[in-house]
Amino acid sequence: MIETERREALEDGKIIELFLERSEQAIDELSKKYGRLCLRTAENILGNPEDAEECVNDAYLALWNKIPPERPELLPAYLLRIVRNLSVKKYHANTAAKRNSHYDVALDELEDCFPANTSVEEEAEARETARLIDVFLETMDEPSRILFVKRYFHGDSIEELAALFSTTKHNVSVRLSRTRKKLRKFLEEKGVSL
Amino acid sequence: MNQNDKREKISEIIGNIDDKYIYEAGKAASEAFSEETRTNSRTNGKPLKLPFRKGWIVAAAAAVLVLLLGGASAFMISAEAKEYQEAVAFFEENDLPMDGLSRAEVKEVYRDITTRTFTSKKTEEVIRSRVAGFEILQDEPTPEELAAVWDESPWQKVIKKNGDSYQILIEWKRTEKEIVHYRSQKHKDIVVTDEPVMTIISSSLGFDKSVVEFYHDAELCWSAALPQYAEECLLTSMGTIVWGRTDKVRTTGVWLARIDTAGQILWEKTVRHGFEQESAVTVLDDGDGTFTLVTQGDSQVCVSRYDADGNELSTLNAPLDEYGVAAATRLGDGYLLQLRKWNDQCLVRMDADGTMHDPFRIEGDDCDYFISDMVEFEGKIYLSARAVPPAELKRKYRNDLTAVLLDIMWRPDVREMTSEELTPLIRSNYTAVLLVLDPESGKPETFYSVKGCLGSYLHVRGTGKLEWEVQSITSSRYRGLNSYTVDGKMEIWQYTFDENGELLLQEDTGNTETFTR
Repeated sequence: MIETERREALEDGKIIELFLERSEQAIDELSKKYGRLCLRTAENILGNPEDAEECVNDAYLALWNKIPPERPELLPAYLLRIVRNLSVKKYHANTAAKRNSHYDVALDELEDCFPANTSVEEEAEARETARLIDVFLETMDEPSRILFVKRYFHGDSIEELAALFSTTKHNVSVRLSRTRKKLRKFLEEKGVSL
Repeated sequence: MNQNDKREKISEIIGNIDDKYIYEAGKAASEAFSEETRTNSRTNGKPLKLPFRKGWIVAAAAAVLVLLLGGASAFMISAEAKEYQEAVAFFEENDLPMDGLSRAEVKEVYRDITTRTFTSKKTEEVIRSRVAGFEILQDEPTPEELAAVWDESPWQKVIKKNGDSYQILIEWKRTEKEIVHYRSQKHKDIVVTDEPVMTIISSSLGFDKSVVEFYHDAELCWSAALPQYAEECLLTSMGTIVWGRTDKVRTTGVWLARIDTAGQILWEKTVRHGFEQESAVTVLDDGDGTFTLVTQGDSQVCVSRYDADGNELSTLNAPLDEYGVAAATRLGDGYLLQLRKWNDQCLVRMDADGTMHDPFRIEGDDCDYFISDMVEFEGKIYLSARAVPPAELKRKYRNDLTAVLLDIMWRPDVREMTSEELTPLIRSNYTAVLLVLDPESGKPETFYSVKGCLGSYLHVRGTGKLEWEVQSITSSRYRGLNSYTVDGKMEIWQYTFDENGELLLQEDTGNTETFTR
């Protein structure tokens, strides 16, 4: 058995303190703890590792510039949101030929959750709809909720999720399909349209 | 919306979910990742499991086993889920909002109300948010006070205009014209088929008639069709007096009608007082078999008295300068008029002989009042108004929401503001106020007020009750565009007072109106 040198990851609070002290070790620790998750999220959306690495590095820089004065309560969520936003921006900036069909497939799955409407909604309603989805997510069991967020926020593939949950791809697909049906019903009751 | 737009919109929505779910999912993945990097994997980490059908059967069996063995954890999980379901059902049955509440908070409010404890802050927030037009006077109600509000459940009582009320319907002449045209299908410029298609075009030819309906306790008692454009009705000791105008497009003349208690039209006539254009302001029941019609035209106010048969008994005019008459009511032997122009509003007393006194304005110590209606009730003058923070004179009457608009329009996230963020700001700008005016001194006193609302119409019912409509702002959105507009919805509530000024009822009328500033 090969022993590897393993250092316990720093607590999030300590990482934030490193940011506040303007210590470059903050980025090292952040990368060690969340680097793989960030890269995976970015690569899910962008479809290639080079763009993903670029977005993650940009996210680290963004964090360096935001903290201080900001002091996020949930550091990984804060970081992942920046990674995702940068990745989505880069994704939209790519030409149509370079679009990631894998990420599009995930978004297309969600299309059926929103009742059809030909009008274009205001930006503010995206936040309102997200808030309703938060309410919906709260009603779900934890594994189903994690599955939903991993699929549609992080863009994980069905294969990856099946491996993560040690189950079959079919089971993952069925579970996601059931969740989407419930979400559609919930949003219809709330009068949401897209 | 094309496919790419939809994807972008969905991506944006998902990107806005709460941090705690991103954290939860990220943490789960991190645990799984940490498992991958360990050389002695699978033994240290705990793989995530989805509760699929087989798993549920196993879990249910395990729950039974645990119960039998006296274990508590599985029982607690299923009991928690059951309680949550009951709480959700309770919220739905009682029409309470769950928006923004976590699972734990939903259960907390459910327990707090069903055990009649009423000590949870969340319970107070839920009740306050549901009854936006119901005045909970206390900033921090006691459990007993909150229980009383809960027992009243005003949001579940939707009145259908109890007592007497009118509805005016305007009907238009329409024609339906059939037009036949031919639709061709062509293939490479060669006509393949040529089939006739009939289209029906409906167009309006103008005003047809007004239909006045009278309701008592939401039951239709009668309806009457009238040949002119009816604007308002008043129930008097002589039956119903209807007034309106003779021409929809141009206000050329005023028209009156009287309908008896069975719905029979006794008479209808056009009245003219020498003005090029004349419009009706209101009709006042004099209580002695006569009524007074207040009109305006050619920068003058005209007050005319009529008997029950519509014969004019007297008339007098007075100059208005640049003002228009917004409302009028009796004040002793004379009248009180509310005058308005684009940058000013005021009240003025008018004697029975037409003598106009100096105008006066209702001013608050720390607010500006915008008066929307006034009425005489039991010898006192009541004014319905909205109170807003004081503004500079030059923009005083232009927009009563200017202060809030100036505050938010420069925010970088203004277009992303949700109704939950914006509506409290809008509501904080307004207070609906019912003022009672001392007819001698002209000094108003606040009779009643409701925060977050605008004062609307006042009605005096024959049963000796004063009804005050209040518009409660319940939702809003910022529509920047070029004119920095806020619009939204208002629920209409009705407050009913008796002749002693005691509040009898607070009721949701079930009606809504739009709000734009």
